[in-house]
Amino acid sequence: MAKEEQFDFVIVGGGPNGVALASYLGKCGASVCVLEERTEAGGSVDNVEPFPGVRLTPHAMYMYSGPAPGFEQLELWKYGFRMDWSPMSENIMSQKDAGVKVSDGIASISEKDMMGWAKISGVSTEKPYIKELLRSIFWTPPHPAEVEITPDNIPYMQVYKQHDPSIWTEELLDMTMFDLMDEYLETEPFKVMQAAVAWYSGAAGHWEGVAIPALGCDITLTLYSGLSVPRGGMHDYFHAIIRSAIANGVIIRTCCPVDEIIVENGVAKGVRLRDTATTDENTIWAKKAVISAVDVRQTFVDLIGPSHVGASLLRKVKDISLKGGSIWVSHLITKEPLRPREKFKTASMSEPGEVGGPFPCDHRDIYYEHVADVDGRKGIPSVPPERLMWLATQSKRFSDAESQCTVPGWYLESPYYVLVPPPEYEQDDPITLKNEDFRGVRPNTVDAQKEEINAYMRKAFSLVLENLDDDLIMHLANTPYESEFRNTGLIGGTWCGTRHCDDQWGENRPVPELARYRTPIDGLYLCNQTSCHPGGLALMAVPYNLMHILIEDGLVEPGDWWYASPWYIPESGKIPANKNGR
Amino acid sequence: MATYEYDIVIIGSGPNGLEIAAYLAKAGQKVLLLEKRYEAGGGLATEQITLPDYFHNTHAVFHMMVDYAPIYQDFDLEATYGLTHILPELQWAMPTPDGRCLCVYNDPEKTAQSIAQYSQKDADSFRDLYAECDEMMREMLGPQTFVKPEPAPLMAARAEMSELGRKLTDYSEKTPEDVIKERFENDHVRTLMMYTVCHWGLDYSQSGVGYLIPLYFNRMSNYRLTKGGSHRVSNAILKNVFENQGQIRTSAQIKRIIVENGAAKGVELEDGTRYMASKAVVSTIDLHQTFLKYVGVENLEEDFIAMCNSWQWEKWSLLDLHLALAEPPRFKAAESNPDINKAFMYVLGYDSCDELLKEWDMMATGELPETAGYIATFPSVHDPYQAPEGRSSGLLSQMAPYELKDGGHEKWLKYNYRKELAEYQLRTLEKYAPNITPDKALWWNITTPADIQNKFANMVRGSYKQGQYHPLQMGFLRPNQECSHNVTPIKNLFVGGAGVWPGGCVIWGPGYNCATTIAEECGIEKWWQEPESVIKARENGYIL
Repeated sequence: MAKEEQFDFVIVGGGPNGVALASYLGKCGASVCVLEERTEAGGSVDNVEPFPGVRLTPHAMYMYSGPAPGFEQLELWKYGFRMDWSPMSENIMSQKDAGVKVSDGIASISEKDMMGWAKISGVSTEKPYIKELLRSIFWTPPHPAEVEITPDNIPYMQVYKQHDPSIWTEELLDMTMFDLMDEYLETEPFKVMQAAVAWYSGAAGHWEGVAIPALGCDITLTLYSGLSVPRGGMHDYFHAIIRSAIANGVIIRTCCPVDEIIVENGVAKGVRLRDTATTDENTIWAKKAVISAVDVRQTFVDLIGPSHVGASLLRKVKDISLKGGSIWVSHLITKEPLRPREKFKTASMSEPGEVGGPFPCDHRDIYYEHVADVDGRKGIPSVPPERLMWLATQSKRFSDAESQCTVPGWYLESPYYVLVPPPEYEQDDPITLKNEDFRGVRPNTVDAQKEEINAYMRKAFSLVLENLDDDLIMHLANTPYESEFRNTGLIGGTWCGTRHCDDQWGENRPVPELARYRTPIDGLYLCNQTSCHPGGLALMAVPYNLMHILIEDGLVEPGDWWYASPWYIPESGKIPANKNGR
Repeated sequence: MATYEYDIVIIGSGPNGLEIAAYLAKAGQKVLLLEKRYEAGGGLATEQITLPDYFHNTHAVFHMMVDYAPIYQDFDLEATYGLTHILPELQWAMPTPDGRCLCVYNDPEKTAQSIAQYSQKDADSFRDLYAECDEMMREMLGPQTFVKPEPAPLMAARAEMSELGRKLTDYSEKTPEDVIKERFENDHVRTLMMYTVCHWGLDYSQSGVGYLIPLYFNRMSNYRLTKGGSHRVSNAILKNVFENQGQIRTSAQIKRIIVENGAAKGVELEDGTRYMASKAVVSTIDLHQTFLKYVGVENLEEDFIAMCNSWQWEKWSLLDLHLALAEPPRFKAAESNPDINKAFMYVLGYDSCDELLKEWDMMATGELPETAGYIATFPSVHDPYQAPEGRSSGLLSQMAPYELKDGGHEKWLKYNYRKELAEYQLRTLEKYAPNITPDKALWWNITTPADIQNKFANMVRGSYKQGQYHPLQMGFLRPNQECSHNVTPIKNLFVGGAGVWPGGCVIWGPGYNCATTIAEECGIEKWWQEPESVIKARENGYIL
């Protein structure tokens, strides 16, 4: 018999955003149910063991969320969150010694580069303000539509003005990250390296008007966390979030795909589960709100259905480009540890030497060529391997206590990232294609191309790696196809959802009507990287920002542990989410 | 390096580790689980290892103690976490070359009717055997799983005191082959019974552990599938641990168990992090790693070291082929009985009992006969969640030795060999279910005995029960006379994994007994009561 259940909040999707929001709401005393389609919550912050004894983080790998208020507010430390700090994090200036990899070896980084970089990143002032800068970029909700956006109320502009007025100019708002770096840095390879990191993080070095968000994507990883990873990898970071949610009384149901968000008279009332869901209940009612923590397109096109959404909004949602960059992730298993070629060794390196990227950072032409390939085409990458710009982090970054590879005699280097054009399947454009068409099949094109693309990638990696060809045992790859169909919200294999570019940032993300997490349907809110500022990277930013809105609407009232963003502007007529405003 | 304080530190977060953590966390203890892999659950794993939306139970699939294990009631797993199990009506099907099919149902009468097609005498014999084994299971074997074992002489003396006990003693002396050949005359019936009884690694010619025969005979018709996949079981228990403020540290590489003055104080990781345990350190991993590697021989007596060294791993492991199928199989044998397409397990590839025994003999010498049979299961037929609509997940699970005579265990990692085996297994399936032509296997993923060890370090040589079921390794002697009550020669160090009485295969016994022991030894107030079946068995004098 079909049964029914009721909670204050029903959250569709158990990825990092959905579960972190659940924890926030549970901490406010609300009853919350999270519905996750897969057997394990975690979304793209997942882990897999594709070959027994080889444990991989196929997707989210890097720690971008360091400055998140969620660490304090959800007390993640209490729930087991720990970092494995990299040596670099202890002295960020040591990055200078490592240099930058260019085609013919290591290019050095100048004093001016380091000083300039430190300056724009907010670490050169007497009292560093990098945390504040990053929070003003990511951890603050977009301003209400009634507020006119000016250089004076854009949060990061306020931060610069307060802490280092010499950086503040109105032109910052039109610049690309390259423009910004041209002003403060000196060496081309160093600039290209930073732009590459930003690009791989979802915000490109060449997009106009997002110089600071792009810089933020870069430095939250490289400077704030010093390229460190959470102990046990990103999935263990998620473990801490889910433990806090459970401790806050949240009910998390796995194996529960949602078929429909029930809308009655323009109000979201609950959800209906797919027949195969592993629960007796098939309808779950929400007393206060339904939160969609799945991608914006599924939310409006599949879960709500056209009859409840105006045609113009539906059109806009369908038009949102979700091709924010597809990443081909290689995991290389070898007989011997990988070694760099002689020309890539520097005196400061310990044996066997650094085998990471980005590479090659010779000149921004290389960057532009790769960008044009990824953004302008579909299908197999066409950049020649010697100009393919790849990024790598080493397994070594994990501490000795980690157990990534437990097959005797096998060495794992993982992951090697390459941004690629969106995949081209045999059928129509995957962006307009409903995921269901590919459920349970693997397009032939994917297999036909996989080995070919892997070999091409190895050619590119081997320009730096001396012994990859000789010692290779297995090349495992997480393709855009796999990202897309393992995590149903990652359409086209996109990692960051919509890009962090000017027309999809802040008050414009994903479209102005939806920018403040509310929807035209009462009681339905958005909480996914594709549908909300500031997008992806498992930042715990979307849930934090959304909390402001839920407080405004009187749905929750957090205790003393809550603090709002200092740059937040309450919407008139609503309950202010900051104490001062109340 | 950092040091953290807990009451209880548990090594391993498989079913037993989780069970211990859940019982003790709920008792108010500050509990930490240490797990080497990235995910908790051990053999309770459900992974997407083939194609999107196919969820494969990569280790434990068939749950056999759901109706007995106290953990289900004590934590109200069904009501609280929506954990449900499916008990397929038709449990086993073995198509025979004449086009018929021998079936074991959950309902013994239906099984007897199926057997009667082959032999009326065997059908009657089955009814008798079923009634006998059912009583033994309910009265003795089931409850016994959740209490500590007695030394063999005491157990024998107790058994002598009741009729049921004396019957069980008779079994104990016999081998599976003895019992099955004595009771059944038809060759096909013998084949299926032999397979089902020896399924979990019982040696057909081994005497002395015959008490397992009635147990497996009874369980034959009681296998369950977890709705949503086996990992949901570990998820539910882990959630309960979290609710009671328990913690887990995944990806933890252990260096040693810290022993001072003969007492366990905590666990140190390879990076020097120390997790101190004020009350107990618990190991749910195998005997060798626990004592020889982590406690260290310098902390152990010679005799004890010798006992560890004489531990025997299992004679065979498993070769599992996980399949993403374009459609569910349609068996030829279903033409006469449509039920057959809905069987939980299929025994395929054995035309005679001799063939089966010969295969087991060959495996003992490291040979994997080309004609080897296997069991097949298609979980999504019973739980549609586990595969995309209209399609089917599948598992072909074959017994296989760890060390291959030709090529050793290294051969298992060779791609071409794996591919050959997969293709062979698929051809066998096609013989029985002609619609599963090679193109219907959209994707496959194979797990060999070597892979099992590489994935789970405690399943040495692919020993998924952490060690053979052998008279010297069972009952009071599992893992040895010093440790079968979950205590060890090291003060405050407890053991509670599959290598400890009553054994492996997710039967929830070692963990339950270990939690009880720790509560008693450490003065922790027990919030749980013994199951009624245990109380009743004790009143009847069947157990201590």
